[in-house]
Amino acid sequence: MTGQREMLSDAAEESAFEEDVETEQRIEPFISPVIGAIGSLLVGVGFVVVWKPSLVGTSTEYLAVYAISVVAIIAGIWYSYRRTFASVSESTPPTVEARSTTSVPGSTFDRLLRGPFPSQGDRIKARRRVSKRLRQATIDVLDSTSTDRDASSIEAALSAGTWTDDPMAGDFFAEEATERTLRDRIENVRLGRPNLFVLSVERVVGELADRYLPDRATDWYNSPETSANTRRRSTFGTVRSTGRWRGLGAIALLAIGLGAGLGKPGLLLVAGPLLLVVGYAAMDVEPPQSITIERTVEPTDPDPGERVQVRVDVHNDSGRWVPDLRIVDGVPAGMTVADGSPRHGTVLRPGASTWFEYSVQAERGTHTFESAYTITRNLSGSIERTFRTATEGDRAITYRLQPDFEATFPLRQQASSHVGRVLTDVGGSGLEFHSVREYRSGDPLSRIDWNRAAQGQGLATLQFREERSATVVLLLDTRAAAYVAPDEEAPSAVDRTVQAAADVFRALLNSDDRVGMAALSPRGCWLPPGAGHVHWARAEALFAKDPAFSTQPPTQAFHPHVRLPKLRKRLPSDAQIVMFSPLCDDESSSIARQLQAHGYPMTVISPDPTSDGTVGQTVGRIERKLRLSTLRKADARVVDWQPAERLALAFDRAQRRWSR
Amino acid sequence: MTLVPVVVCLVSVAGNGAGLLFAIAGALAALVGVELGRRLVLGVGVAGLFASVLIVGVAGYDPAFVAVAGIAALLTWDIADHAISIARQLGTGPDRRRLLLAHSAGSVIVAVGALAVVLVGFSVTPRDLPLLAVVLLLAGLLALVPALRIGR
Repeated sequence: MTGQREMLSDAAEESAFEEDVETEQRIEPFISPVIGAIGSLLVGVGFVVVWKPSLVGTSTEYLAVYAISVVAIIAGIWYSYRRTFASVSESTPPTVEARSTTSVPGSTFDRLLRGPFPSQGDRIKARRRVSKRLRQATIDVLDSTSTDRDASSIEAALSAGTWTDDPMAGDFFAEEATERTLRDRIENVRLGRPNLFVLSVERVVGELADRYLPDRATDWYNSPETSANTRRRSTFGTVRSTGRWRGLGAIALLAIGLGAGLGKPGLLLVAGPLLLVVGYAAMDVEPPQSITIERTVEPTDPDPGERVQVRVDVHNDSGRWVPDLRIVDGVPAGMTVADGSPRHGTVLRPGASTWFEYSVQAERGTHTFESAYTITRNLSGSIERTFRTATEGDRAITYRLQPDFEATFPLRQQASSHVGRVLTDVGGSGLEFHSVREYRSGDPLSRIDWNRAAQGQGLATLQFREERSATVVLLLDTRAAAYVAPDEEAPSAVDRTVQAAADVFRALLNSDDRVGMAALSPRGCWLPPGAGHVHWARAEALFAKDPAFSTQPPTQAFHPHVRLPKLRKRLPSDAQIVMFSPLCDDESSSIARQLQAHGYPMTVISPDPTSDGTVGQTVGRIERKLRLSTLRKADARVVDWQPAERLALAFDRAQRRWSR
Repeated sequence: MTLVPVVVCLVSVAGNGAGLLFAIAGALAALVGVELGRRLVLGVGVAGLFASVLIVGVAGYDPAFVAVAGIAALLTWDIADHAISIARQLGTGPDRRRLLLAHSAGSVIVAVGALAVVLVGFSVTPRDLPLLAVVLLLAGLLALVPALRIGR
């Protein structure tokens, strides 16, 4: 469940990009009219006096100059002080290049372990959860690695701290922890280790991994920490002042103050052009918004994993110059940019056009482009307008399915009453010898055991093992918790699941079995078992386009107590189930065990999405392996399918340990 | 691109030891700020450049040079900040140069124009100004700064 929740929060973060509020922000006018008018008036009168000095007497006091100088310096310092706390405000376009929809199993654990925690209370709660999860994993590992231990002796070993030779790992669950010396603590700080708790957890996980994951390669003690989740407030659909000219007034004031006070004309000369430039920025107009964008995608129905070329044509309809146009195309989440950049910046004359190109890539599924994120600025850069341009042309890319037509699938024995290719233990007509029984009238002549008859032992009938077809339902786990991958670049477990399910579906149709499929997902999908070309066409369409198999994780929660009874009602009684699931949460393994317990022979194909780059990821891997082992004990067939391994090889490896 | 105004600013204040010191430190910080894409570092650098301008101004340096140095420091901020903004929103790449060029051209034209107006005005003004004129000019400028909210 935690994994699912984590996925949901990630998904919500992704969609925050979509839900930006389109509000027009009011910009304060850049010039204050009253003070501006007074200032201009004074400057004007000053000029008049410059040209006609006779208009005024020479008795004006020097005092005024000094007063102005002091006021200017104070104001200058005040504005400079305020400027140091202000920053330039500009929009941050979304990172569209590789918006991943997956997470790595165990990242929740890492987050619980290292924070950030909003409060001390949260830290304590998180630690409690970490300890609980780790304790369960340790008990399970000890239970499955040693034969002589029973539950109570494991508990005793844990609380005595004797389950391992590592004193630090041993102390973690112990009731009376050995006192840490001051030297140890100083050593921790020196090594830059976070704290004792994290260190102990690392030791415990290291100990478990040594026992349970013999082929572990990575050493996460030295690996960089996983990046913290940063939540950025998106500022979209706004016109805003960038504030990049702030602080110039302060410098002008300081120059005026110092220049007037010390009688240095050079400083007064500095203030003049600075103020003129600020005045230019203040008078600059709002940037235009009339931009049209047309997108051309080639091809729109690529083969799995193929690169797709995207060309974006941009046209300025506004009848005005666009001095600063920045576009970030709405690359679908779940696709990665393979070549070029979906970002483009240019200057456009009225009526002019430009274009740019890039290519994107994904494994499978249907991907829909979002409209392009556009930023325009005026020439001085004082105003920035952010909006989403409606985009014409191609919007979607649908990857074709290419099932492996040569594939075969090892089925379990349960079969239907139809003729097919699953060997049964029922005697009858077939190829493989089964038994001999007494002749009954009506038995076909070809099956009479003539050798036996020739020896004078009477008539007997040969029986062969009947070959029947199986009814198979493929159950695809596409709950939010199944959108996991070893790293952000790798295809998610759902991607691999759908591809493999299509292969298996095709293989079973080829061997005359009846195949149906169902999705374990809040978005639901059901295809009753069937056979034939039309059935395949239907399945192919579902695999490619059904929302249950989307590349985006579902946002709603999955309720097994509602969905499972519904599924069981639909399943034919003689069906066997092939379930595809990464098994990265307890819900998935519990569903598999329930269905197996209801009498449906279960084969679980589990694409392995785990990694061992961090402590949490190692815990994730250990927990998944424990789930596989539990399922095997419950008499389900389990295929642990490694990344980058061919499915047929995984079957081959798994079949060696199946008894039947 | 940022290098040009930085160099202009450096050359303009080169005659004064303390000013040059500040200017060199500021110039280095500004260049590092652009390279790293950090506005804070750039801001510190540009503040250093402006400090050098004020120093040479106080030292009584040739007014024209002081004004040129001030405008150069302004352009340093403008162009460098714009480059950072482009890099943040669009990333770096050869096709970003067009945007930077257009903006820089606009700013340079305005800045040089403003400088020319002020310098010409300065050169035609008689040396023996009545004090009242100066006071009025200063008071006017003083009022203009808060009026230009954008630069405050």
